[in-house]
Amino acid sequence: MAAPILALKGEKAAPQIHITDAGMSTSLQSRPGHDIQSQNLRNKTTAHSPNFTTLQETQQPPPENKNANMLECFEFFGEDDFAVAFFFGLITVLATALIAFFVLSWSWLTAIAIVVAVFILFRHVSLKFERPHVGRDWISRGNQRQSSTSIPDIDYLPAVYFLYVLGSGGHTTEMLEIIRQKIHGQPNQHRRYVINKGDSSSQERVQQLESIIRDAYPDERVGTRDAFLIRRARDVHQSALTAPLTCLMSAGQAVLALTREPKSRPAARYGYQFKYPHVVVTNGPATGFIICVVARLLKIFYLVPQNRLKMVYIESWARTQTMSLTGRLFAWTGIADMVCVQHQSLARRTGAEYIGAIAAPLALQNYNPED
Amino acid sequence: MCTPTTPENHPALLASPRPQATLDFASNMPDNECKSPSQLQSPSRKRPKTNHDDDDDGSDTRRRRGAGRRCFVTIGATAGFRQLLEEIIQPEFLQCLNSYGYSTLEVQCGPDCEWFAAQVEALPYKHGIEILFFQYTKNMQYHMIQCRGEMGVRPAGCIISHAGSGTILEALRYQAPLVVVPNPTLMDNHQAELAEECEKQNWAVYGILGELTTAIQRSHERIVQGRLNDLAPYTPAPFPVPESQRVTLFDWMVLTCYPEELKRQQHLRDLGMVEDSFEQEKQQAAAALQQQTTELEKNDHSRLQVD
Repeated sequence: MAAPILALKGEKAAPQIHITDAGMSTSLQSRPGHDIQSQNLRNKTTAHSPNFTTLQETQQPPPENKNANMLECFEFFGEDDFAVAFFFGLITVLATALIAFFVLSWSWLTAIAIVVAVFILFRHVSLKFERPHVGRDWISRGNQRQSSTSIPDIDYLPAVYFLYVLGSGGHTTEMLEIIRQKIHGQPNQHRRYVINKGDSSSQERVQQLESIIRDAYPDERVGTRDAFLIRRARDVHQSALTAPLTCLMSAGQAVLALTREPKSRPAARYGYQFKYPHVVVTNGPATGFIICVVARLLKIFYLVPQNRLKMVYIESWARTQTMSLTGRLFAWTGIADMVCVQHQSLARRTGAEYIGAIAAPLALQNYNPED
Repeated sequence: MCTPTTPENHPALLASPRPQATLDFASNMPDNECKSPSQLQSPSRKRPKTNHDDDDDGSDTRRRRGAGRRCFVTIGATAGFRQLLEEIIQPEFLQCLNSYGYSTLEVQCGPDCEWFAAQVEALPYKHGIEILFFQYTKNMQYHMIQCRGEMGVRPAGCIISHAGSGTILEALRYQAPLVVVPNPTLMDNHQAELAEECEKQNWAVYGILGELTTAIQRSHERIVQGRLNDLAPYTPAPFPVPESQRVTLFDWMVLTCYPEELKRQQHLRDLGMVEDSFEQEKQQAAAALQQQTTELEKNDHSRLQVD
């Protein structure tokens, strides 16, 4: 049903590799592909980088084709009406604010600021109360035996679009494990991975996972996927002064990541069903928090449909007694629709949802030294 | 080229508690010895060798396969952990490894690789342990499986790691005995929390810096207790996870975007659960009935026998 089709318009102008999911056709310029490669090369030269590649790796033929087959990577605008309109609007609003700042008196300014703040607060709270209250009994393993009927049937929905935010190191490991535990072959599915720019090890691991998924399901049930490279919110040794600036930059890119329609699911064929992700899943990196804040703001200002961009935050399996900083931020601001933890003890302390150790089930299942 | 005056070359010193380890050491010695001076002189030449260690099918590796236990130390990809590296080349620790029948100590030493090389070079006597090291690896699975005890293949070794969640999850997947050592220099010592949990759930041994020999001892108690020496060969988990085991949280989350559908599915689910519980009750009743009848029959039999 989800026969792979090519993007219809602006194919040649777009600076991306575009590959259909059955791998039927490969075409176009490969700038991002080269980008990935050059990043790899760069990492090879810097020996202290965590993405140290072995000699073995360099001897292999360049993985360009493999990359191209697996993932389509976005970095730039392309021609996206929403993003252009959004940023144009944003600039207009900021310019108006600047002019107003000089023209209007202080009392007017305060009044406007208060109105805006109250609006945001009101929308935030009302969104919070719109949240569905079914959370407690969804939760699969650990708590509840799953009967065949408690598995929701989402194969026939018009669209199912997940956005996964990957961090680095342990965060990526856990997220990929969660995806492994969750994946279900269905034709109407699109997955988008948000990866930090320059984090080539995460990219490779996503590609590994995708190739496993491809092998496991027949072509029409694999679904489509792409990746979005986003700037890191804060570099490792960045000073606190410039950090807000880079945070803003990655927030701008987060808007693109959230609203850019997948090439493999063009509106010409699927309507706007695949325009916005249904579920945003994150598990701890700072980028995830920024993306969720942006998503929430988009919802608050009615820039995206209200029944999209549900956010799930999953606390890392490593936290057993206390929440991480990101977790506390999520819990405190309440921007996520669900805040889940993977340890009973932590759930008891914080009142978050306990969903079982879904990032570690295989490890612990196997692990039973007593028998 | 080889330095002949080190105590390792001394035949008298080769007598170590475990004959197996000695033998293996002796076979590996020339190789090991000849590499060392070149490493000392030019650290840049060390790279190819360390990369070679990553190679799965290297002849070197194949030769080592029948050897004694193997200890793999990993400090993860992000931060250095020099205290742990210092700890594992203490003579007491090497002595301890030797007494438990280890022959190889393999170290993933991250950013401190050059420093570690110098330290290993400066060691006067290695207690018959072959020390290998490299900076990072892509193929963690291979190194970890080398420490998994498999029946008829190799005895269980030991993985000593920092308490990062990625490493712990991976080691647990391969059922290799694990010692986790939290890095106290990291932000508010957050790794200790996970290490404590691991100890509590008996997933791993909590190793404290300065007391690693005790940790090795306890790890071996665990190996004996859990019979980790003779596991079946490792088989990766089945990939499309069985439908009954699948995590369906996100699917429900998608359904919240379609409220009518959500209602319908929840209704269906509730019906299913009611049906299930009915069936369960039925089964329970049937089982109870069965038990009663068997008991009655038994009573009858006993009565008959008495009669």
